[in-house]
Amino acid sequence: MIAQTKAELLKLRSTRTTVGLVLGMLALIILFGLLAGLLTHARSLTTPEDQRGLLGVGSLSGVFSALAGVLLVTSEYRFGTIRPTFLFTPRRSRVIGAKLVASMLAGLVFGVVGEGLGFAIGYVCLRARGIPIVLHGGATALLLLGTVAGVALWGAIGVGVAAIVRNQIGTIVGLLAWGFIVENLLFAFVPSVGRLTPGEAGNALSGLTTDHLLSAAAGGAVLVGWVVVLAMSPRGYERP
Amino acid sequence: MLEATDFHPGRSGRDHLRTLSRAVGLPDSRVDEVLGLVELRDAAGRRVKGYSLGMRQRLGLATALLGDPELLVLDEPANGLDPEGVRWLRDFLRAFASEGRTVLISSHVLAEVAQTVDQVLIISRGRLVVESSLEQLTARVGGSVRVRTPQPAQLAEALRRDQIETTAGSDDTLLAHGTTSDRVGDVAFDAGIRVHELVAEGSSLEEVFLELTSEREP
Repeated sequence: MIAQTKAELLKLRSTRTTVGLVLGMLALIILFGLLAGLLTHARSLTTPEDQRGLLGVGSLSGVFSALAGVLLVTSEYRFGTIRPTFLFTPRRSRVIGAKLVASMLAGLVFGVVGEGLGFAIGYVCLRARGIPIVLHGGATALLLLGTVAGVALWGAIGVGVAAIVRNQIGTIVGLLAWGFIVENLLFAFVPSVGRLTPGEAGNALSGLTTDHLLSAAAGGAVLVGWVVVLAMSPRGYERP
Repeated sequence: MLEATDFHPGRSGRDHLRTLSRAVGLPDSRVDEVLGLVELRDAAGRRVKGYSLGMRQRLGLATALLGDPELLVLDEPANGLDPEGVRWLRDFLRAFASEGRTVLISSHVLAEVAQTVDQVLIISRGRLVVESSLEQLTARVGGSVRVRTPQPAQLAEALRRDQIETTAGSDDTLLAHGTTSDRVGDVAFDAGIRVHELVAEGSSLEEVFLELTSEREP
């Protein structure tokens, strides 16, 4: 399992796609961090919740973490490397398990880099504009750790969904549509259900408290639950 | 052997092998060994996207060799190789076999197979039709004997008396059908005919193949 995880990590490292994902992530976080940090009216940046939103801009890296997880699976089906992969490691659960672990490790890096950068940009913006920072130490720690953990778990969700769908375009379009449209609609109209979606659970894990969000601990548990459910789907272990 | 298309185009040949060798706990030095075996070391750092078909074939072969197997199963391994590459592959496989290991090749390029293999299995319509050594196989089906003699007419006459059909070849040669070189030599000796050249010509593997498989037509 450790050997297979090393192999999966090398698969991530050895193509330029991953570099592209990291660069795209950094560009997007810089853009959104500066836009939100500089253009949002000062009055809308005074409450802890406002500041969580700004300082947690690095949670965007969850999208890229999920994409890396997706590609770790779908590129194997797309280019046929899934055949040698399963030939060398016939136990499929080991391959999928290694991909889950590798994508979470990669997601951890995405999260640390992304949220580190996002937090720094937000912090500097608040300071530069003389807006007092009202987040306490515990809340800040929860924001940082929760966001990073959420981003890491999104990598595993990417793997889980991709193992079921297998088609690259289908998986990516489906995940983006889900994350940016379906979740928001669900949360807006049926919050009791919407708060159980992985995106909103991730928000809860970061310490956000808007509306009907779960507690941070419950959010984390729900997010882990999603990973487990997706990873257990029998479809991931069927013949390629 | 794995399909010569099962590579991520954006990954280098060396990294392709490493992703697999690491999964089974082989050291990276083994990757460099197999790259050396298939003479791909110079291109190993380049992305597979830029590889020729022949290079991909060799990378596929390297993948199969990673685990130091006793048996290689190759499907059309000479596909896409230039004549030099075909020759290299043949020598490589012969050397592999001479170490006491086994190579199973499936191929439609029978002329190439005939230069490489010891044993032939012919499968037609899902049934094993023939299993024999290459020599026995080509000798047994419709073999002919080419004989060069300064007296072709007399020899043809002598063979005809022995119920052996002949056709005239170029210059002073005759082709005797459905017989062996021993028999033609004996006939010539008995008739007192001088023979300058006597060659048993097994039919080509291709002819044998067509003959054996057409017998099975419904």
